[in-house]
Formats: sequence, structure tokens, C-alpha cells
Amino acid sequence: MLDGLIAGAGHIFVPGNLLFLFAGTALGIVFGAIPGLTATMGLALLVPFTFSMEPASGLIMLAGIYVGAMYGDSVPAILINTPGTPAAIATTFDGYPLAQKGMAQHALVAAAFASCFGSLLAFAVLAAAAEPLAEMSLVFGPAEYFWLGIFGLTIISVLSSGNLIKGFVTATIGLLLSTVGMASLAGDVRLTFGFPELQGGIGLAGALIGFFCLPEILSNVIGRRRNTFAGEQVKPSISIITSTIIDLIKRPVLMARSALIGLVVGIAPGAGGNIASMVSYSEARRWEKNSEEFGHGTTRGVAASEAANSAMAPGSMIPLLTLGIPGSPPAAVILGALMLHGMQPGNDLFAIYADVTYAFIGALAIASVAVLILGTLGSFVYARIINLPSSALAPVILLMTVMGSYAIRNNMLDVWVMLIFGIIGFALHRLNYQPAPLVLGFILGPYIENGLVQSMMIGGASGSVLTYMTTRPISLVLIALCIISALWPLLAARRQKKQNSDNSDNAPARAINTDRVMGITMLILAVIVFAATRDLSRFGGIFVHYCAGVAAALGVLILLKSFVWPDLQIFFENASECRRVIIGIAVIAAYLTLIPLTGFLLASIVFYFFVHSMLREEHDTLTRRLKSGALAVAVTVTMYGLFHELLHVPLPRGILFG
Amino acid sequence: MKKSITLLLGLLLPLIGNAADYPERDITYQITFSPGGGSDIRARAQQPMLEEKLGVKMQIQYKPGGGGSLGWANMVKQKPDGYFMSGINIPHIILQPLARDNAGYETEQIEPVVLFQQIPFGLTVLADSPFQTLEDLVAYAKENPGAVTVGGSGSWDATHIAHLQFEKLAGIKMTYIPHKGGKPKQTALLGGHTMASWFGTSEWLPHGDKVRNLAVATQEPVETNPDLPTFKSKGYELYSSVYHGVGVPQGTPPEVIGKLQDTFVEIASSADVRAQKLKSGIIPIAMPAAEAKALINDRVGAWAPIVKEFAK
Repeated sequence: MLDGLIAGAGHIFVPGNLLFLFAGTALGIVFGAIPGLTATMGLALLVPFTFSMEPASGLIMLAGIYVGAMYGDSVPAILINTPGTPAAIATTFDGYPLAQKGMAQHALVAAAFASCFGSLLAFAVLAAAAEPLAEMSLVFGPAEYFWLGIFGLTIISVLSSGNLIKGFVTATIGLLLSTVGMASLAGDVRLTFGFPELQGGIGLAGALIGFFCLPEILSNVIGRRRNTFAGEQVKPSISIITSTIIDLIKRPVLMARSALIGLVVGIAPGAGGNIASMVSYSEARRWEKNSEEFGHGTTRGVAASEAANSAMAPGSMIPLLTLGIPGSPPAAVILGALMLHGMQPGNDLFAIYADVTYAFIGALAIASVAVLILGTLGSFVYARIINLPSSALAPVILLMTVMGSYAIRNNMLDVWVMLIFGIIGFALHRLNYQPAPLVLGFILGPYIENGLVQSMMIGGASGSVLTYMTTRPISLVLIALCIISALWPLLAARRQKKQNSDNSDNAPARAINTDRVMGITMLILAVIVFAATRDLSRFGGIFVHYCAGVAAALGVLILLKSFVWPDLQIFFENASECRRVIIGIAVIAAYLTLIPLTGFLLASIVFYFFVHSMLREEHDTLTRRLKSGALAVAVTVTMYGLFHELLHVPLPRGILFG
Repeated sequence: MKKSITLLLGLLLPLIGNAADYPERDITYQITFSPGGGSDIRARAQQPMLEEKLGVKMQIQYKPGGGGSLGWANMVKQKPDGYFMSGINIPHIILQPLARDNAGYETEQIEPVVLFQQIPFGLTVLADSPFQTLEDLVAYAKENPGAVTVGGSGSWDATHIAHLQFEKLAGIKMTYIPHKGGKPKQTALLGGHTMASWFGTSEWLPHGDKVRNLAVATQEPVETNPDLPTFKSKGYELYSSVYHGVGVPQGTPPEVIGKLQDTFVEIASSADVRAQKLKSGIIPIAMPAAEAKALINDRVGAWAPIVKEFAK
């Protein structure tokens, strides 16, 4: 083992390869940070280049991209509340509030340091115990995946809403959204409502951007006309870096616990990686002192999430290198690259190609140090991004949301879905419902469904489905964890006797009874789903019908609650806010309609110019208008160049100009 | 005489001209699965060689979803001029239009250019499984109908069809467990969650001694594992493989297809590419357009009745 690492180090500490490693890490950060670009895309793009390299150099660069991207996704999570990947959802919980308080650099540095720590710790474990850990990943069968998914939903529901029922309401909507498209096991086409493009399901990027990013822009920039994106200006300094890092070093328990949770939960391929950071965040909030700071901007929250999701990255390499089973989509690309270089995972890798394999493992570790260096240096630059006036920044972000939701599958419908989700997300916020459980329900839905369907098939073959699903040891542990997580807020509330904020007192006349709105919505949703899925096959329909049943039950429950304990909220503060939000949505919709007609480039320039001018408070003069125009052209052409020329995304050319 | 030569030249020149000029600009190579998947990696491996031989850039473009159907539906809508091609998978492009009435394309709208590799399926069990041979498994399944769980990569895909065919040929009933693709299927067998599984030749190779293959569904023993019995040698006429290749929209000029075909065949026939594929458990082939088309037509005829019989 040690010999292997030393031989591997011989490959890494060559000036050329170190350069590849840093270049890869920097590129990974960019791919992780830009919504719509993913680590998987970055790796896939780089694979052909690695042919002309030595295998070691190529793999070292891929390791850099992979680790870099794991950190990169925290940057938009912190700055604009948009997780680059599901793994960064928990990073938004404290990262975005920190940025709002003018502490974006604190959050970015905490993320970089925690990422580095998490992957180094995971690396140490990977180096010491790859084989047994890989065997562990095999224990997860259909029943375990089902319960793991339910556990994830329980945690997020409690976490984000502090109220299990409210969280479950939005989580159920997410589960139903996940069933749109082709059933991954039974093959039935469901809930596409006549759009063939929906056969592929709803895009993840569109859902993440729609539910996290767009509501913030609609609410703060367009609705409330805030001049800057963050509440306070950021003043980056070196002392912020040192104080943030020292503060985290003083919390070894938090850091180690988070990283270990990431490693353990991340071992279950797929679902594990998506919820590892959520579990870690939840545990941090449970065990840390002053837990009320969580959710309002504490670097501890950012660190808990990032240490866990970075620890998971080397974790997903374990089953890959030992068994040839990739634990995540980016790991699958690395598997492909290994095979193209003629290296077959399994014993070969550690026998015949040991030095290259260990160079790769070592590169994962060095790349995490590169993340710390590049991340802290970079924090000076990107923390300042949100200091820009929102009249300039908001149109750029809106352009990115459109590109980001389009680029993954090259599909305009995905962009419309993103806009609709943005509107739903905005409405949910104002109704005091959180979108995080919805998105997690959407992500975990397929795992829960496949777990359920396969359990029924396998359980059916062995005699009893219920016995199969509930008596296996890991299932039992997960069921216990679900119950504890669900009951914890009740226990905690009893202990602390928290004062219950009651909004119903002297609420203005125009406030709405939120639970009543949601209750009716859920019932309508359940009816629509039942009506549209009557003729599915048994295994294609079972999960959809369960979810619709749960939706109806929850709808009745909150409808009853709305009469007993009404939760009254104000939807729009005043008439002009309402008008501005509606105009904002209309402008975006007009832009999306324009894209297929005039092509992406022209439509985007017009859109940018329009939004920029609309958001500027000052009186219009010719020079200002020219400045807006120049900005519009410059920004749009840059983005067009990046996506169309560099990444070959087929952006619409427009039917009007052939 | 002179006249007829000029006439002949006049007729031929445009053809020669077209074929000689093609390609004049970048070619889009569509991948119907997600970035980083098997199809993508394959295309990325070919990309530098194609660019060198054709002298233009390959622009790799993704259109994933619906098990590939969204991408193929997108391809048949493109201009048939040879500047848009797409990775194709058999049996996907045959089974999707058969099993779904809204796949978005018909098999004959896709013109195959080449098939460059084949992955035959076999029935695989864990090394410590009580089923030492195919006979053991069949005997057990006969006594315990429905008790044997057999993993596959999905519904109405190659493994599912092979499973149904085998049940019919052997007169047994087992429980087919679909998975979301090949990797989860492998994990499930390794973890003991399924009792047997339909593995492609490239799928059992990485697992070495941990798994045992009972039989492979080819006519002749496979190049990667020559000692492996075939289903045919055990008395079952079962043949099942996935083929990977490239196709263009129907109506693409034959000389353009010819040029692409020759380029791909040359790449697929190179010793390096062949050796690399064999090492990964993939059977290298270089099947030209006409043969590929005949294979597709043959399979359409063979599978249509099976899908009709089992799909509601």
C-alpha cells in the first residue's frame, strides 16, 4: 500500500503533472460553479485529450476536475442560492444567508477548507480500507434504497420546515414530479400530457435552478427592487481567510463528524451521495451549541455540508476502483477513461497498473489541497461578484438560468419547465413552504420507486414482500433512524418549550391562509395524477398511485389544520410589488418565446438590454442606454461563445433568419 | 463513342463530386445517452481518429432521455445530408418502436452506417451460487416456478427479451427483475440481491472469479471467452447481443453513407482498436451498412411477435 503510494507520488510530483493537476482543479471549479455545466460534462469533454497524454497525466488531470467540481458547486450555492449539484443543497442553507449578510468570503473560504479537510480524511480511509468499504456498498439492495430515500426525505422535511407535515407536503409534490416520463423499471410512459420531450423526465438542472435561483431573483431583485444582490457589500480580506480557517480548526469534532458521515452515507451508490451533506448538516444542527444560528448564516453550517459532500467524492471511487462499479455519474466517466487506457478495474488495477492507480488516488488528495489554495484565492474574485449592481448582475444570472437549463439536454421545454418551477418556488416561499424537500423528493423519487418496485418483485418471488422490506438489518436501522428524525423536533420542542410564533394575531386583511391554499392544491394534484395514470401497468403505476394517495391524505390533513391553527401570510407586500413580479415573469416568458424565432443570440441581447434598463433606477440618458447596449452585447456574446463554440451546445438559431 | 463517354462522365461526375467533396464542414455526432456514459466514451475515443481521417471536426452533442428514444426521434428530423449522425444501439432502435406507440421514430427511418462492436449476453451467477451449470438452474426453476430471481438492464430491452425467450425455450418460469441500466444490475448480483443475471461479455469480465457464467447466447463460442458453452450447445436456440454503431437519417445519399462507412470500418478494423475492445470483453466487428440493415430487418421480424405476445 505505502509502496504503491510512494510510486504514485513519483508520477504526481513532476512539474508537468502538477500543472495538469492544478489546471484540472481550476477547470473543475469552473464546471462545478456554472449552473448547467457539470463535473460529468467537464470530464467527458476532457477524455479525448487524455489519449494523447501518458495514462498517469491524463488520470491526474481527471482527478483534479472531479475534486475541483465538488467544491465548485458550492460557489453558486453561496452567492446566488443555486446549488450546482444536489450535493450542495445543504450548502445553501447557511451559505446564502452568509452572503446576504456581506460574509460571502467567509462562506467561500469555509467551503474550501471543509472540502479540503473532507476529501483528505476520506482519502486516508480510502487508502487504508478500500476493500471492506467496497463490500459494504454491495449490501444496499432495493429495500435498503427505499428506506434510505425515505430517511432522506424525513431529514430534509424536519430540517427545512421544522414541521414534518409541511415538509412532507412539498416532498410529495417532488416525488410526483419525479414520476413524469418513462418509468425507469417498468418502461411505462407517464404524465407527459402530450409533450414527447417529457418522456425523458424533468431535467434536474431546470428543477434546481427553478426552485432555488429564480425565486430569489423574482423576490429580491424584481419584486423588491434591491440594488445589489446581497444585503450588504462584501469586503474581502486576508484576515477573513485566516479567521475563518482558525475558527473551523477549533472545531475538530464538527469537521470530523461531518466528513465521516459523508464517507459512510456516500458509500451507498447514487442516493447516498445526494443526501450525505443533508444528514451531516442535520447532525451538526442537532449536536452543536447555539444551534439556532443554523439557517441564519453560520460558517459551521457551510462546513458541515461541504466536508460531507467532499468526503463522498473519494468515497465513490472505492467501489469504482475495486469492483468497477461507479458510485456517481462523474465516477462513471472516470471508469470509461480507465478502460480506454486499457485499465480494467478490479485486481488488475492494483496489481498491473498499481503505480498509475496510486498516482490517481494520490492526485485526489493533492487536488483537495489545490482546491483550498484556488478556493481561498478565488474567494477574493467571486465574493465581489455579488457587489455588482443587480441591474447588471440579474440579467446575467437570468441568462445563465436559461442556458443552464437548456444546455444539459438541449431542449427548450426544459427552460419553460425551469420558469414554471421558478414561479411555483416563488409562490411556495410566500406561502411559508420550503422548496428544499420538494427538490430532494424529486431527486430521491426514482431511488424510492425502484426500491419499492424491485422489493415487490423480489419479495414476491421469495414469499412475502413485507418481510423482505422490513427484516433486513440495514433496513431496520434506517427505519429506526426515520422514526427518530421524525420525532426529534417534538422531543426538542418539549425540552426547550420554544415559544410558538403565532402569525394569526392582528394579521392584515389581505393575508392568505396558506395551508388552505396548499391543501386544496394537493387535492387537485392528486385527482389530476389519478385521472392521468389509470391505464398504467401494475409496476409502472404503483408508486405514482401511492404518492397521489399520500398527496390526497396530506391535503386533507393540512386543510383541517387550516381551520384549527390558521397560518396567515402576506403574499405580496403591496400592489406595485405584485405588478413588478408579474411583469418580470412576463418578460422572461416573452424572451423564451423569442428564442426559437430570432435565435438565442439576438433574443438574449434584446432581453439583457431590456431587463438592464428596466432595473436601473436612474433617469435614462443616451450614454446610459449605449452602455446597457454594449454590456448586453458583450455578456451575451461571451456566453454564446462559451456554450456554442467551446462546448458545442446546439443553441437555437431562429427560424426567422434561417 | 466520345458522346457516350461524355454522357457517362456527365452522369457520374456529380456523384463523384459529391462523394469527393464530402465532408466540407463539421459533422455533428449525436449521443443519445448522458455525457460520460458508454456511448459517449466510445464516441470520444473515435473522435480524434474520425477527425484525422475525415479532415473535419466532430461536434459531439447530447440528446439523452427515454432510453435513447428522444435522441433518435431528434435524428430522424434532421436534414439527411451526412452532417448529422447519431450513435445507434440494436436492439434499442428496434424494440422501442415495437413496444411503445409513441417512441417518436420508426426503425426504418434510421439508416445504419456501420456497426462496430457486439456485446453478447449470457446468464451469470455468483461464484458461490448452488447453480454450477445451466442444467442446475433449469432444474431448480422447473421445481420452483417463479422462485429464481434474474436481473436484467430494463424493461423491453435486450436482456428482457432474452429472458422471455429463454423461459419459453426451456419451459420454465422465473422472476425477471429489471434495473435502471447495466451497473445497478451488476451491483445487485454481486450483493446477492438477485440469484442470477443477464450479463454482457464486457460486464462479467471486471468481476473476475467473483462470478460464473453459465452460457452465452451466440452461434459460435465468443472470442473473449472461447471455453464458455453457448445456449445452442445446451439445446436452446437463444441468440442475444447488443450492437453499437452509427446511423444517419433516412434519405442520406448512398455515397455519403459509403464514405462514413469506409471511415468507420477502417477505424474499427485497426489492430489497436480491436485489441483494446477484446481486452474489455467487447467483440470487435466492422459490419458495413448493407449487412447492418439486413441484421436489423431480420431482428424486426424475430422480435415483433415476442413483444406482441408479452406486452399487454
